Amino acid sequence: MRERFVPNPIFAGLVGICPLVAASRSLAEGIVYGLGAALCALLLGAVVPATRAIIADRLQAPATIALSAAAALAYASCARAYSPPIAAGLWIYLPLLAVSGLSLSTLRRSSTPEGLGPDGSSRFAQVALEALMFLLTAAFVGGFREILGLGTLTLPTPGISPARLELVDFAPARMLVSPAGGFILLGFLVAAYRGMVRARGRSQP
Amino acid sequence: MNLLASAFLWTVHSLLLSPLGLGSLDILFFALLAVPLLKFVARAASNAGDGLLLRIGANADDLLVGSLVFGIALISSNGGYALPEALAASAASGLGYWMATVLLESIRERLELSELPHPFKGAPAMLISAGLMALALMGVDAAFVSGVAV
Repeated sequence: MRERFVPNPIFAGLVGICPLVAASRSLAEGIVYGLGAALCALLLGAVVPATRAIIADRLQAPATIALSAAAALAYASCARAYSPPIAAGLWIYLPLLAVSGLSLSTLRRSSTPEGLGPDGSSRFAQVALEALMFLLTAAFVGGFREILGLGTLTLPTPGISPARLELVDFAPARMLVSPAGGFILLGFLVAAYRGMVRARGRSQP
Repeated sequence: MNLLASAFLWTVHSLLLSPLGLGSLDILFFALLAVPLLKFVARAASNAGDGLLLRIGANADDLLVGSLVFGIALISSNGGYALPEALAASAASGLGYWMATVLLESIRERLELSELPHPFKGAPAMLISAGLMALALMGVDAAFVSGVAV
């Protein structure tokens, strides 16, 4: 169990927290943003190690950033077609998936010789796990902020009007949907995660 | 670096992308053109100077691919800013980033001397402090800056 534990990239590594806090103001936005970051990271994790042998070293950085930008643009177009209101709510954070923390950490890991495992799949598997955890965490943070902040839950349904569930008829803590509230909430979530990991570490033989 | 990037990216967007109807591909062109050019400028600065220029050049790699540079470029291009407005926005965002960094560093030093529960030591306390500072700045913006702009 301990060997399979993959640290949460957000709560443990503080990867990509700034756009996450700004973008994930609802469950739908968290899922769409997290899915975009995960897909970009997966693409980079699959393609970058393969291009190391083809592209010259000094062209690696701009080529990989351009690849990341192309992936982000493609995803942004798909998101706008899927649900224009959700894509509009994510504003510039969809194109900024090109330089999201998850993409950059995947690039750094995949671009160094030490980043390659004995076979390529072991490193890609780790990237895939981190991407999945990023998506789940983004969805959780977005949903948590929306429920506590607005008392609603917006589902990522397609079309011009996403389905919204009104759980309570008042906004319990509206500040949480602002970036300031997001940072405060994330601080408490990171502390809770650390406490949980520490407790698991104590219970391990 | 922010001013240079903003000027360069505004020029690319206004003179190249918009006339050709390629405005939606702005971040791709930014990544292809801006990153290598600004890395070259940063390395030239760090080789030519010492002290401040050396530190700028050393940190440029992290700054260039950060959300700050690309974010301001996207805001300027999506908002249809003129060149002076884009430069003012980039300068203001850079100053704001610097101010936030200095304030958070002083808060971090005080937090290190404080008795905090173990899970809150380090990043969680910094995140909560950053959130509280952002809350204060939001109040300043709502009370003063927005009123001045109107």
